Order: sequence, then structure tokens, then C-alpha cells
Amino acid sequence: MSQWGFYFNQDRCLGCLVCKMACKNWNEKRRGDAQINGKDYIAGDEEYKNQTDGGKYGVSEGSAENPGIYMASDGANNYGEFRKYYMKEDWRRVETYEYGAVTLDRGNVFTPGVDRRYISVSCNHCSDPVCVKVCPVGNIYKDPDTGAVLTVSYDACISCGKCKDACPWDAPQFYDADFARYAQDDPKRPKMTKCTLCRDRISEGLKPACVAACWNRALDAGPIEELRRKYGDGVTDSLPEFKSGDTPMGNTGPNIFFKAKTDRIRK
Amino acid sequence: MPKITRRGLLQLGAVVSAATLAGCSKDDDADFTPISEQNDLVFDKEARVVCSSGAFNCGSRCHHKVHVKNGRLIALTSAGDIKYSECAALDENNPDEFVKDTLATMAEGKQVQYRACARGYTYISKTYQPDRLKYPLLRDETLGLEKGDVSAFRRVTWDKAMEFAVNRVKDCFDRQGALGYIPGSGRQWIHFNLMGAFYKKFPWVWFNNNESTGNTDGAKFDSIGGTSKSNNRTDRFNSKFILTWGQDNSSTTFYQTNAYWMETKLREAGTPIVVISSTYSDAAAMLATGTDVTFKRWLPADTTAVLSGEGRAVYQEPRVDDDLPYYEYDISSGGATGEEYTVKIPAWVPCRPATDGALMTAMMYVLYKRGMYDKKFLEDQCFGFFKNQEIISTAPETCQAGMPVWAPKEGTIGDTGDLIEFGKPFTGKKMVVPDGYSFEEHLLSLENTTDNGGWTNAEDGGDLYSGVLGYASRLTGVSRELIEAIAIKYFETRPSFLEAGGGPQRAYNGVEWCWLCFCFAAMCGHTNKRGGGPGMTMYSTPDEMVFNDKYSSAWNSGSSRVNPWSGKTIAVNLSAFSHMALTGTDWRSPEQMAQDVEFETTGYAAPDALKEYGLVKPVTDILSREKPVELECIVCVHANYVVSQANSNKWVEALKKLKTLIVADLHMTPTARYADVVFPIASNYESEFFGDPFIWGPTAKFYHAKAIEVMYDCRTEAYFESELWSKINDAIGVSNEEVPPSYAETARPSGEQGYDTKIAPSPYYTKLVTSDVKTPTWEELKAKGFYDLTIPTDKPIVGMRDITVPGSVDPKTGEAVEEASKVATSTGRINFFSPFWYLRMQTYAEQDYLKKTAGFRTSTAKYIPNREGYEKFFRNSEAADDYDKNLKNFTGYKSPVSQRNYKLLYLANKPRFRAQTVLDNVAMMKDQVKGHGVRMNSADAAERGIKDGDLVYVYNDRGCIRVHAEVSHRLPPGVVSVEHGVWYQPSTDPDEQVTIWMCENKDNKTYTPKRVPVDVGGCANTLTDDCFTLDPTFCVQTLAAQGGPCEISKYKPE
Repeated sequence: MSQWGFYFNQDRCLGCLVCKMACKNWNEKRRGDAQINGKDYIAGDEEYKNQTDGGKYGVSEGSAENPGIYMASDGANNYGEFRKYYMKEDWRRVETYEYGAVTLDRGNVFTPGVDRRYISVSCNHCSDPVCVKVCPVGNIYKDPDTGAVLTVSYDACISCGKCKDACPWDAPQFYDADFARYAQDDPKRPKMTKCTLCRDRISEGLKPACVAACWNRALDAGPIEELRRKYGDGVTDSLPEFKSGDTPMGNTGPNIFFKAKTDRIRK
Repeated sequence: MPKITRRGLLQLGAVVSAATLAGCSKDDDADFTPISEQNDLVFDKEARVVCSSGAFNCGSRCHHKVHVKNGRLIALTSAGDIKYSECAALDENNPDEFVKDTLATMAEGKQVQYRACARGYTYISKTYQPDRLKYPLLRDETLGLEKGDVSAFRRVTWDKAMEFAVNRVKDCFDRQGALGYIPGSGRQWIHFNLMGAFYKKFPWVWFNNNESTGNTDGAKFDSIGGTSKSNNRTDRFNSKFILTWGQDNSSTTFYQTNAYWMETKLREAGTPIVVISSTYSDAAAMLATGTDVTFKRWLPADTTAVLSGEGRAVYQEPRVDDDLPYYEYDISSGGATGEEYTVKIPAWVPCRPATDGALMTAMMYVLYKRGMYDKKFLEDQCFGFFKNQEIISTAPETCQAGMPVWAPKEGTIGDTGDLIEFGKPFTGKKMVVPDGYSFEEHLLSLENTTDNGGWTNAEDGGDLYSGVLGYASRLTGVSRELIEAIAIKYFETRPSFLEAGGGPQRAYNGVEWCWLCFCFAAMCGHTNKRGGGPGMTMYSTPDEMVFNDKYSSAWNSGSSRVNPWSGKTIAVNLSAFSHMALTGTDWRSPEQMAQDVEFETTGYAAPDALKEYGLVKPVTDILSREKPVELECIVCVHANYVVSQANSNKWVEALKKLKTLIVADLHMTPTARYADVVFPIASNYESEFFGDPFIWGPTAKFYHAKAIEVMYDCRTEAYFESELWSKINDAIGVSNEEVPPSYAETARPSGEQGYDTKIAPSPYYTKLVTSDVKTPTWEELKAKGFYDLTIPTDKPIVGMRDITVPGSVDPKTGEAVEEASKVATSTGRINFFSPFWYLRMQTYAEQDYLKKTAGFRTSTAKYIPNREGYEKFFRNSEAADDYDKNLKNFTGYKSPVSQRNYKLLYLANKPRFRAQTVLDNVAMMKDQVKGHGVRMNSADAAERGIKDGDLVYVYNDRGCIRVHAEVSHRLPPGVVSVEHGVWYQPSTDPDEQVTIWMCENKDNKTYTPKRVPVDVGGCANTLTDDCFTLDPTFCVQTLAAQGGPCEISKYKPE
């Protein structure tokens, strides 16, 4: 097995969210509510054929338009309805960290002493994954070829949330964060989904969707030893931001390493 | 592989989990073996991948790969989506190629992959979201519902909707006989192309200028000329210092993502970058490096020596590879004495919004006092820097790119200047800068301690130099030390690239700021140099210098060259348009308006047809009778006035009053809801076209496949345009011309402006860059998705190069021209003092209604205070003499209308997660930005008892929005920001109403209090002033979106 992992160059990341958005695009069919909130609103049939009546949101000729469909309608903001139709899970997450302050000082002059840094992480496909240990139904495993941490089956998950609680990186995701409020036998009860390392893509020699999308080349993925050789010196296994307690490194053997943001000249 | 059921797994559960727990260790892979593998991780090879690109008004285009299966869009990836094994060095993903110097590869001119930004990744979600307009909608007027009530719409057929629209347009045209003009209007390119063929036959009401780049366009006019060109993008590799001002390539539109990537590589290679901005943008946080500069401290005793007038320019022979001379300066021995001093310039230099011009003026003052300016360039290529400079105008005699500079009034420039006739070009006329009007006199006037225009204050360290900088620093928030250091760094680093963007430009005083940018670059001699540029990057290297495609270049520069079909009009500034719709005036006197129509002082040439029909005179006669200008019908194609234009509440009133609003769009925008008829247009995935980026040096073309069938009862843009055009033509019978190419048509690879023309390199490119070009066939382009003309760093396109180099190449023909080309201004030079404005301002003085404000605008490049700018936060007068005293008694801006005090300045910066107003309805995008809010400094939040995430009211005299507070240090104290483009949404809660003050009266003075709903969407333009401009055809050509006053509270005002 050649364990895969990620490299994240904080010095280049500008929090543009492209990695996250590309992930949601590629993995649309793997979102937790894909079967529950399907595409039937666009087309009545499975083939998604072109049709003209607007599906369940349409009206017939001569009829009044349904104002509730539109964002701009009075009071009838349909944001909640629209949210049904794309991936809510954040398999990749981009966090913002801000330090210091810009202050107003003597002479009515600003003193810029502020710094901002971003971190983009997904699942780190740990060498010693705690999620695998805590799953009571054995639904999480490590891919023998890449070391990717994968789930066996969407249906098998019992939504107990133990993996989510245990993971120091917040990798296990649910389409509704409040998954516990659904009854066990509710077909809408959210199941855990997570980053697959784009297992389908890398088997074709393609980059994971997030890596392929990052336009400032802050992300890379590959066999972790190869990656380390490629990036050589000046990298680190942790970032100062993790010490804040927001994202503890944990003892799970995460397969990720970093380049920290270099200091810019400041006053 | 058998699918494991939940039930089956649970039966195994106890065994599996025990085994897993026991065996979960690093050194025993066998225990990780699953009982069954995840069953959907197989690459879907049935999906078809087609090429596409961005489609909305972001100005850029990029290379998308759209994955389609069973007629459905299933995923979008972008240019970076290639196999590891195929990655080139630029990719930085292939370990074998990684060792190569990617910077060197870029320097070869490779534009680098056009990867999508976050906006692009929402396009599929946008296409399939349930709120697409699905069929034509007609307002049922019999219901008696107010305009804006969406429940009044009924689904109708295309025929019925078209019949309604055509009849309403015909009604409008029928009134031309009585009015002398057509009481119709519209905005955006598609409209111009669609209606232009008719409008060019008749006068109509032109919705003038440009929301995005208008003040750049306005400033170009008679400063650097309508044909001004910036350097091509890869030329920044020649820069030794980048001063980025009010610009964030990573967020805003117009710049492909690869511009930021190139700058990242430059940063890593050691190019110093400093960002001046009112907000701690990602450019400031991630791209800027800061730098340091060493110089000798200014001592007052040096003044005499430096101002001896010689300058210290040392002529250097042109380099072999570049025929532009450089002038070198020895700053260590000249201007100043005393000890050497090193100043660290921070990465981010925060500056108060809309005071940027004052900051730049102070920098130019520093350089002038130190004798740091390119004397030869200022003498030979510029006009108005030096006192009483005398020249003979070499202005082009004919209109260039739709921007003639003709005398707006008879007069002379200077006492000994030649007489210039009204309405004639300035060519060949002797002009002398009148006393007091030169730029150097302006700079020195800042030292005046008695005049209100002076900046100096006796408390500022005793000498005039420090006094001027003292004033500037208190106003802008930038320390004296930094003003001096940045100025010297920009001057002495050769070449320096001033990357001045669109932010500070979108202000009431934005025209003047842009003008100063041109002057700053010219003063330092960077204008026509590789690695430098003319000062503003908001406009492009014209396409004709790269591609041989006249249609896309027609849109390159916003309002100045907007389209080939535009007619002669009653031009009304876009910021005055809602006022015009409500009152029939735009603050000009009827006489002035009539004169502007007749003598084309709008900068738009009257079509010959109009003169031929003898229609100019009738319309001016009618206007001069002081009848209000009527407006009856607007055709609105892919535009969203309520959100994109100034003063949303006023636009709502204007649209309610309008007899007919015809809308074609993809979604029910806040503007579309006020329509009488709505046409649903197919999305960008439903038809094939050619993708042209239209801003900032487009050197690539993109292919945009038809990926899916047209959805619902939508029709393509091309169908809508040609159908409406031919039906209107049938109805009013004005034209036997051929159908003009619609926007959609011109973007298609067919006809005269077809593929071969579009894809061919220009003669200029083949002559100056390379003739070794193999353009792809149409089939090849479809397969690859884009075509890139590379420009190596050692052969950059230096936009303003040909103003100094005789024997340069005519972009249109590729032939050498005998003389250096003329700048398209009144002087044929870059103007620090504008003869056009000088004469135009004399017309103001003759207008009673303008006397009160005359002198506000300027014929010499200079900073002017913002209309409700920071200067007025101390007291309500325009004088600045007791500025210091008032600093101690900061009260904020006291509105003379509402008597309220507003202590904060707001910015409306362009968003990263919307393309202007497009995408705000897309929930997938809204989800990522965690709601929309007002960003504010923690000091301001604490003062108001506001915590991060609190729901707050942001308000001023124009309106009130309700959004979440985002408390951080992205903004300096006293400055808040609300991102542009969020949709206006009036609250339906009867308690969520506020009082605003709106001018709806023809006297242009009386503000009426009104009750309006709180905008719970949070549209920034709910707060924006629809300003009272001195000269609506020229000043404030975009929105006054920056630097206005506001206040924030947890509680609804009053």
C-alpha cells in the first residue's frame, strides 16, 4: 500500500473556497440526501428529459405564478427549499484565523497590525484513524491501495455520531448537522458521509477535485512519502493555528503536512 | 459487488467492531480490510465532457469542463483537471516536472491555466435551482395589484408575451412625433445591440455611463485619452515593485484567477508588493509583502535647492531590447540632506475610503518637493504640469473610438492662446496653461496656510512640507512617514507597476482619483515603460493589439466605446436615471441639456442618420422649452437596476411609476418583479457560443458548448433578440436594413464576424510579438476549449509605448507609422490640466442653477472631497481650515436633511462570491459565505454593544438594511463594508419600516421623508447616494458606492 495524503501551503491559500466548491460539484451524487431530495423538481422522469411544465414548481398556462418560488418575493424566501438540491456536507473545510488588530492611533492614523491566515482541510486519511475504531457497525475502513478512509455503505450507517465526535478534524459530515433529531427509522435520518480522497478520480490518474481546482496551487495530494520528497524542506507537520484548540492535531496519524504562512513585513 | 444492507451489517456489527477495535493499528494492514468496499467509488466513464466557460458579467472567462450524462449536467471541473502524468511545470502537481522553474515558464508568456473561481462551481446549481424563470409571464393588470407584487404574474405563451411587448414598444415609438424623441431607454450591451438599429434613427433617452468602470472611462476623457491602453498582463514580470491600490485580484471581477497566481509567483520570487486599501483584502493579507525604502529625511532648508527647476533626470540610451529611454535619478545626492533613514512599508496600508486621491496627491507633493519627476516626459508628452506651459495642440482631428474632444465652448486657453471655436477640435491651436491652473501650482497651493484650499497647519512640525503631509495623514489615516516612503519607493524603483483598481473609483470623487493615477504614473515616467503602465488597470490592452476582433473590443472599455449601434441620445447619467424617471430632470438646465445633445458634449458622436433626418434640432428645441423629459418604457435584458444602481429605494419608486418594463432574464430578480412582461432566457449551458473575456488584456478565447437542451419554455438569447427585433421592425416599419447582429449573434462563430476573424492574431501582434502563430480550427478549439496567444515577457505589449516612439506600429494595419501616435485628448498629450474641462467649466459659471456648486469639479487634476466624505465628519462645511480643532470633537457626518449623525464610512466592495448581482439567489453559494453581513472593526462594534453575528441595522438617509454583523479587523476603525450585489428584499413585516429622505421633486432640492420597508436582503446600494452631480454627462460616471456615511445599531432607527 502506498499511503496517500495532502500537502497544504498556507502561504498561498486565500480562502477562496474553490477547493470546497469543486468537492461539492464532483461528489454531488454522494451527498447524504441525494436520494431524498432528488432532481424531481426539474423533471418528472428519471431520464431528466427536457420538459416545459417546470415540474412540481410549475404552473399551467393562464395560471397565477407561484411567488413563493422566488428569492425576491415578499417574505417568501425559498432559501430552505433551494438548499435541498446540493451537497450540504463540507467534506472540505476552509477556516479563517485572524490575529492582531488595526487600530486608530495618535494623529488620526491607522496602525495596521493585523494578520489573516486560512487553513483548508478535508479528511486526512489518518494512519491510525479513530473513526474506524469507534464506529459500532464497522462501516469505516481503510482502502488497501491508497490508505483512504472510506465508508462501506451509506445505508449501513446508524447515524450514532461517534465518528464525528471522535475525529479531531471534523471529517465525518452529515447533510443536517442536527441529525440526532431524526427518528432511527426516519428515512430522512442523515447518514455519515466523508471525503473519499476522490478515490474514483485518483484511480484514473486524476487529481482529487479539490487539488485540481485550487487556482493558487496551495493544495496537493499524492503518496505521502512522494509528496514529502517533492516539497522538501520548509514544511511542517502542524500549524500554530492548531494549538488554539479549534482544530487539535490529535493522535490519529493524519497524512497531511503544511507550509506555514511566511511573515509579511509589518510595523 | 453485493450491496450490504443496513440490516445485514447490524447483524455482523458486534463481530466487525470488535475485530476493528482490536486490529486497528498502523502495522497491520490486514485488519483494515473491509467486509465490503464502498460501492460508488468507480469513475463514471459514461459521462461526456464538454468545454465551457464563465458566462456572466465578471469580465473574465475561464476554462470549464462540464460533465454531462443522460442530458443532465452532473459535475463541473476546470482547467486544472488533468492527469498527474500530463501536468506541465506550471501546474505544480506533477512531481517530475516540479523541479522546473515555473516562474521562467510563465515569463515565456504562458498565460497559465484558466482555472475557475468559486462562482463557476455554482453554475450547475444555478441552472437547476427551482427559481429559474420557466415560461413567459405577463402582469395581469385587471387584478389591480401594485407593481412589484409577483402574484400578479400569469403564465402566457411566447406569442402573447411578444405581442404585448411589441405593442408597448410601438406605443413608445409612436410618441416620437409629438415629443421629438422616443421616451424609451434601457441598459447593458444586449439592449444596445437589440434596440440600437431603431434608436440610431431617432433621439432617445440614453442611460449613460457604466456602473463598473465609469469613472475610469470618465477620467480618461481628456486626461489620457479614450484610446488609452494598459500593458499586457504578463508584463508585470518586468516590474520591480508592484503598488496595488484599491484592488484585489483574488476577489473582484475582471481579473482571471491566473493574474493572482502570477503575482503569487512574483511574490515568492521576491518582487515587493504593497497594497493600499480601505479593507484588509486577501490581496493585502496574502499577496502583499511590504518592503522597505531608504532615503534621506526631508529638511526644510533643502527647499530652494530642489526647486531650482532643473529636476535631476539623467537621460539614458535606450536599451537594445526596448526602444524606450529611461531617465535615471540619483536620489541619494540631490533633494534632501541629513541622515539616511529606512522606513518599513507594511504589506497593507489602510486608507479611509474615498480619500485615496488626497493620499496620492500628498505622494506627488513629496516627489515634487524632492525634485523627483520625469521632467523630459512631462515636458514632451504631457500638458499642464508646469506653470504657464505653452504648446500647439496635436489633438487628433477626428473622433477616435467614439470619444471626440471638441470644444464645449468658444474661448482661449491662456491669455495668449488661440481662439478655439465652439464644437470644433482643438487641433493646431496654441494653448498656454492659465495662471494658477498648472499642477505644480496646485501642489504648492497646498502649502497655503490662509486659503481654505491649503492643507498646511501651523501645528504640524513647523515647516510647510510636514504641514501638508500632516493634513493628508489625518484625513487618510496613513502616516506622514509612510506617505513619503511609498512615494519615493514608487518613483525610484524602475520600473514600478501601479496596479490601481476599481475600488476607489466607485466614489463620488472617483473621476478625479483616476485622473490622478494617470498623472502619478506620468510624473514618475512609468507610463510608457515595460513593467510600468499608465496608472489605471481598469481598462484593457485593446483587443486589436492582440486579436483581430472588432466586436469584442467594442465592449472593452465600458461606456466609452460601448457598441457599434448606439444612437444619438439625450444622455442621462446612470446615477441620475431614477431621478429622471421620477421627475423628468437630471439637474441640468433644459438649455444645457439641449446644448449637450446638439453639440455632442457627451462624447458620443451623433449618427449621420440622425443629422440626415434633421432630428437633432427638433429635439433640442423641445428640450429647451423646459418640458420634463418623459420616460415611458425600459427594455431590460439581463440587468438588475434595483440592485446594481444607486439608491435602491428610489429605483423601486421609479420602476413603479414607469408605464412599461420589459424584462428578459434567467431569474426573477428584484428588478424583474416590477416588470409588465418577463421573458425566460435559456442558461449558458443551453446554447453554443464563443467566449470572449472583455476586460484587461484578453489574450485568450474560449469555446462554450451547448451542453444540454433548452429547459422549460425558455428560449435562447439569440432567439429572443432576433424575434423581438423583427417584430418591432414589422410593427413600426422604420427599417429595411439587415437585422443587426445581436449580442448573442456576435458571440457565435458564424457570419462576417465569424470564427476566422475572431481567432486571428492582430497585425500588431504578429509584427511586434511573433508571426509564428498557428490558430486552431473550429473543431480543434471545440476539443481544447480555449486558445491562448502568448506574449513573452521580453516582448510585452506596452500600451502607451507608441506615444513616444516614432516608427511605431499602427495596431489596425500592422504598418509602421511615421510619427509617434497622438493621445486622443484636446492637446494630443497626457493632460494634468484639461483645456476641455477648462472651457466646460466656464459654461457652468453661466448657469444660474450651478453657481452654488461651481468650482467643485476641476480642470486641473486634483483631489476633491467626497460629497459626504470624511472632511464633513467634523463639521458641515467644505473648508478645511479648522480641521485639527474639529478632530478633537469628532461628531460624524451630520446630515443637513435628516439632522442625524452618522459616524461610520461605508464601502461597497465587489464580492468574490457573486458576479455583480448574479448568483445572489443561488443557495449553494449563499451557504458558503455563511450569510451576508456588514463587516466592522471590533472597536466600532464594542462602542455600539454589537457582537459578532448580531443582527444589526445599517442605515443612512437613503435607506436601511438588516444584516448580520461580522466583527473583525478586516476594516480599520470607523470604516464598515457591505459587499455589493446582494439582492434587495423589502421586509413584509409592518414593523420593519423606517423613515428615509428622498428627492422626488423637480426643484432637485427638496427631500421628502418617506416610510419604506427595511431591506432585509442587505443590498449595499440601498445606502448609495444617487448623487447630485454638477455635470451629469461626465461626473460620477459610476456609482458613489464608496465612502458615504452610515450608522449601525442593534435597534431599528427611530
